Amino acid sequence: MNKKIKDEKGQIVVFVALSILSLAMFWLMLINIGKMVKDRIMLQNAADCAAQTAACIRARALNMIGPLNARLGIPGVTLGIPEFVWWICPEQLLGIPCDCMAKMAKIFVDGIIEAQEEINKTYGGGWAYIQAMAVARRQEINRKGQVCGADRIFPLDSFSLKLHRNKGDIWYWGTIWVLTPKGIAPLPVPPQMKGILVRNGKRWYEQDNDFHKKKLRIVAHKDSNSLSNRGYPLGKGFFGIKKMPRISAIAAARPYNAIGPMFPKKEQKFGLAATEEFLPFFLKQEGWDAQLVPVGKGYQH
Amino acid sequence: MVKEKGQALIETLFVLPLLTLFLIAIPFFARIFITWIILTQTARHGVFLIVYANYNENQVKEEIINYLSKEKYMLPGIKKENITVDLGIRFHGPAWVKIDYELKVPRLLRRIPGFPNPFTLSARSECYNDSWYFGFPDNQSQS
Repeated sequence: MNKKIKDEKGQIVVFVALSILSLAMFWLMLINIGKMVKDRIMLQNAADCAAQTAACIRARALNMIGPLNARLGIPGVTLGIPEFVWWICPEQLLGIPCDCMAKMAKIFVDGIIEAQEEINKTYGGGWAYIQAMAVARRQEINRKGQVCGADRIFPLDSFSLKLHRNKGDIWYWGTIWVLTPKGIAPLPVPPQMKGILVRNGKRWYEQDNDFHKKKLRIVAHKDSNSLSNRGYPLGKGFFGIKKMPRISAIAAARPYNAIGPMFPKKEQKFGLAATEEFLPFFLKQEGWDAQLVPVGKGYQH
Repeated sequence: MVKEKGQALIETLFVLPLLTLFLIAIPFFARIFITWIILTQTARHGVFLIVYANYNENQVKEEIINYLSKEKYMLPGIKKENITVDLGIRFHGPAWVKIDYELKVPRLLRRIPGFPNPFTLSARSECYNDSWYFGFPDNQSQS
């Protein structure tokens, strides 16, 4: 009996030491896995919000460019019929053709086109990326005020607005005032005589085919050496894991509207189509919005 | 044999507090991460209420409180003061929601020097807000 007891000497110490060790490992692993799961959820939010942001910016750009496009499609005044843009000269000089208002019309049309292109350049590229990146990074801010959300984003699709410019001739007609039985009246003068003839000039914006179905897919990454991963994983020696794994998340969003495309299809002869496409939006006072959509085949959320 | 009498009892007395500490710490840390995940998801829902549904600040806070205190997650004690909301309409920038939640620390852990009490968890979500295009939410102005 005595011999048997001597053999069990220190049994509890070993048992308890092993229990504590296993509990400690369990505890450390719980913290590491908990942190990783929390980061993965945060990163999915970052990807979702970044994609939503990029789609929002595209929607906003389309909402700004659309009304300008409609202004380019008014017949006579702008490019509704591009071969006939006529602004009547107010100076009633009998028999002397004048192109002063043709110049004004050209400045007006060029100004709208320039404004559209600036919006397209800004919103359909760098601005969307910068905003999406900032949103993804600011998804988490620590107590010191340091941003520690996603480290970076990688867009899988272009931020382009998927619009292209219709090109063709534009005739800015001049004016001549003539005497009629009821008094003097203005008459249009073709640009070959007096006015401005623009060959292969920039006209209204048209949509790429199915441009409203184009998704914006964004992948958000969090690196092993990310700010919030400092000090992790806990118990490196125990588990033989040197650093936290790099994690990624993917999301997709796209602009949508329930009314129509807002922009005319390719190769239109008349700018009137641009106004026609915008009219329902004007009447309903609505526009493009953005929403998250499934990423699609080949990817898992 | 006489000398070893009570050895197991003394050893147990030494390791028992440590063992108890672990047994309390493990569920507590699990709770921290579960709560953190809930808060992260709630912040995201809050932001999407602004972005998609054009909710104003009060509505967002009420929804968050309803969600956290009345739904199955049950994070009691959340107040409006714990929720910060920026609708992002003033400068047409991003909307964000931040939620701070104070987690009660078990008594045994409170005795550890330097252990934060209450343990404050913070979660945040941010997204670009374009809903102002369709009109500002109630009680909000662009000023």
